[in-house]
Amino acid sequence: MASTSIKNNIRRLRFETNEMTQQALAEAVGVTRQTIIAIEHGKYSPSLEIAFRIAAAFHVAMDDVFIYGGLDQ
Amino acid sequence: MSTTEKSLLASLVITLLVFGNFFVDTLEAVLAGEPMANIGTSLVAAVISVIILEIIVQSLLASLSASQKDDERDRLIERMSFRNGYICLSVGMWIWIAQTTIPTWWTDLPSSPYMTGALVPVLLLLLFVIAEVTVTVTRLFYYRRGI
Repeated sequence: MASTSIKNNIRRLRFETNEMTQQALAEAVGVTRQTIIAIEHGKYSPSLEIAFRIAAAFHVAMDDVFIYGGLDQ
Repeated sequence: MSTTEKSLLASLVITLLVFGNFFVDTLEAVLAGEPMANIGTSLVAAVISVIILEIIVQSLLASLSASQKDDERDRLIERMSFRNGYICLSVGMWIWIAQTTIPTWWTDLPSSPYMTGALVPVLLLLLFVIAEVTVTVTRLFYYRRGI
């Protein structure tokens, strides 16, 4: 079965945004810190709504946060 | 380890300890031909023990860590784990049905003696506990390994 490969720049963006903590980002987005950790480590692909909220928290476009790596066959 | 994982782990340990002990004792008692009334008492004792232990342990965990709301990942993990528990329960039920009906449909053999009489409620409860343990274990797995 094909699986998606979505990478992200959340860690870099946090440090570029006044070294924002995972907890602060979680509160801004409305999820738990564990979810932010899972997204950062590529262990969870968030819903479109959460992805938009993460991009809004950094004031950037969504494709500056998430990079679609294509299908792994 | 997050508060949710600690809570799940505590529930798993309590369930395995209390119901594991109950099932070992009960299956021995049933096979030895003890009356069902004793088994009923043991079941009530096991359920009350689980409730009391859960209240104590979960209260301790809640007091030691900050409260945490569920988000979409928690709900997704919960849904996927309940699906696994349901699959486990369904497989068990189909095995049960096959064990009790197939011999009587095509042959003159009686159904398995281990699937009738006093063992029926105990084995059904075992099936539910196995499904519940499956839900908890898969939730822990998804939290650790990701989804």
